[in-house]
Amino acid sequence: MGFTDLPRLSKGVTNLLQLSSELFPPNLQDVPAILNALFETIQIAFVGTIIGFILSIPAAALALRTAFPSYITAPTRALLALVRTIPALFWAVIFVIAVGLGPLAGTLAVSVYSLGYLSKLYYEAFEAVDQDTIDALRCAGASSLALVRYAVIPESLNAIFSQLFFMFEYNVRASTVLGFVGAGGVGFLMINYIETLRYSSLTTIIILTLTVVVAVDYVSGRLRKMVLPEVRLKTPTKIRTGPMT
Amino acid sequence: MRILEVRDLHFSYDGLKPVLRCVNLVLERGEALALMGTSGAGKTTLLKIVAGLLYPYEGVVKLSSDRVGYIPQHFGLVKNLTALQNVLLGSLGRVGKTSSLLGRFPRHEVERAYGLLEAVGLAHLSERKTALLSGGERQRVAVARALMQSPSILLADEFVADLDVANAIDIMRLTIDVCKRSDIAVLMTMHDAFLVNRFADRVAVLKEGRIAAEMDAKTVDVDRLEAVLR
Repeated sequence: MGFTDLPRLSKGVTNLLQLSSELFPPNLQDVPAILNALFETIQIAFVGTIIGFILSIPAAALALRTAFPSYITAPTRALLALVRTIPALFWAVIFVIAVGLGPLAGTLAVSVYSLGYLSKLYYEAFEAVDQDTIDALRCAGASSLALVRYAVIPESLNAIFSQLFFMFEYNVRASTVLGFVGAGGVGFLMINYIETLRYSSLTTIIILTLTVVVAVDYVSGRLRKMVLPEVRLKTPTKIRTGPMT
Repeated sequence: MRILEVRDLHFSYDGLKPVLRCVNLVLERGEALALMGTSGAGKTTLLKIVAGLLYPYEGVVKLSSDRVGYIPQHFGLVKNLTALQNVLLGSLGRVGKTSSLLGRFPRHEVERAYGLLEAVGLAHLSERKTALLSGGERQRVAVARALMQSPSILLADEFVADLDVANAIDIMRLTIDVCKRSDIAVLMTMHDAFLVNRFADRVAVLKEGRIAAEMDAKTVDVDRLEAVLR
């Protein structure tokens, strides 16, 4: 493993100290360019998540064993599993080859990746819908699509929104590295600064990315609270103990 | 006039352990038949087979009409929809597929759904989500939804089991009155001998998947039931 190679290890420590000294102070001249790139990253994550979400609802419905026969659900599930197997960065490479460098490739990569994951999360939530509800509507003459429209989706609304917000937060983080392969966003600047040894600019990018990610998590959390009903637990009153009067 | 005929019905979930064995049953229009028996005797399974939700392993189930209303044990309401929307879902079999998927129900169906909510005493709660209704109110919505199907036969699975006596009597009276007036047959699974005695016409007792006894509901009492079930 090379752990006994002490001269090499000590050179590594020296290199790290050298890198640390070059990381600071952050280069503030690059802030406007970095903010532009971060805005593009959020756009990629937002549009990609929305497209993935729109596609994932019908995909999850078609994977639903309680509503559709196995000759529909089995191939749908297999296809979605294949989509999930490929990492977002690899999808970005595929789309850079297909549509060229830039945010379009990143947006398509995030869309497909979100489709794979949201569909699985959704069909699992859909299958947890009370069988009594499905049975009652089947007896009322509901078609498979009507079952999805009137029982499955309304009963899974909380899960649908909760997973959507989670996916967006995840995609903002994932989109920061898509630029490494030329799929747009702040990652392109990151790799550029690393290759040109501009480490103080890299520090600026890391600080701003961290700030934006925390801000997105906060806003997303607030939106989730606005959309989803929250269980408020009342603080229990402390039981008093002591002698009876 | 006969509405339901079950002949030599056998059923098993796994193909090994029988749940129903050689069940024979008939039901006339407007008649209320209570299925009684211990838990696991096969009452719910029999109801689901008649509803077309399960297929018989062997035997025949004949219905003279395909209009079957079904009230599951825990009502089967969509909690995020309003009482009126839930009742409207009873018309899905009649309303065109595209219109229903777009949420466009004909005006006369909406009026009928509202009328049924009025009949079960819930018109004032028509716009409230069923998640916010009490157990008794949800039960009334479930009855209204089943009646919205204009059924020839109503299948009800222990549909008052979770309610207090006063609510259970109210809902049983309401349901049986409407069904008698409209000549709707009722096949219901029940545990309460008092309610059966008061509201059913006939009783079939299931024991280990077989009909162990059939009797006039007016003659049912706890001692007689115990004698059959022991």
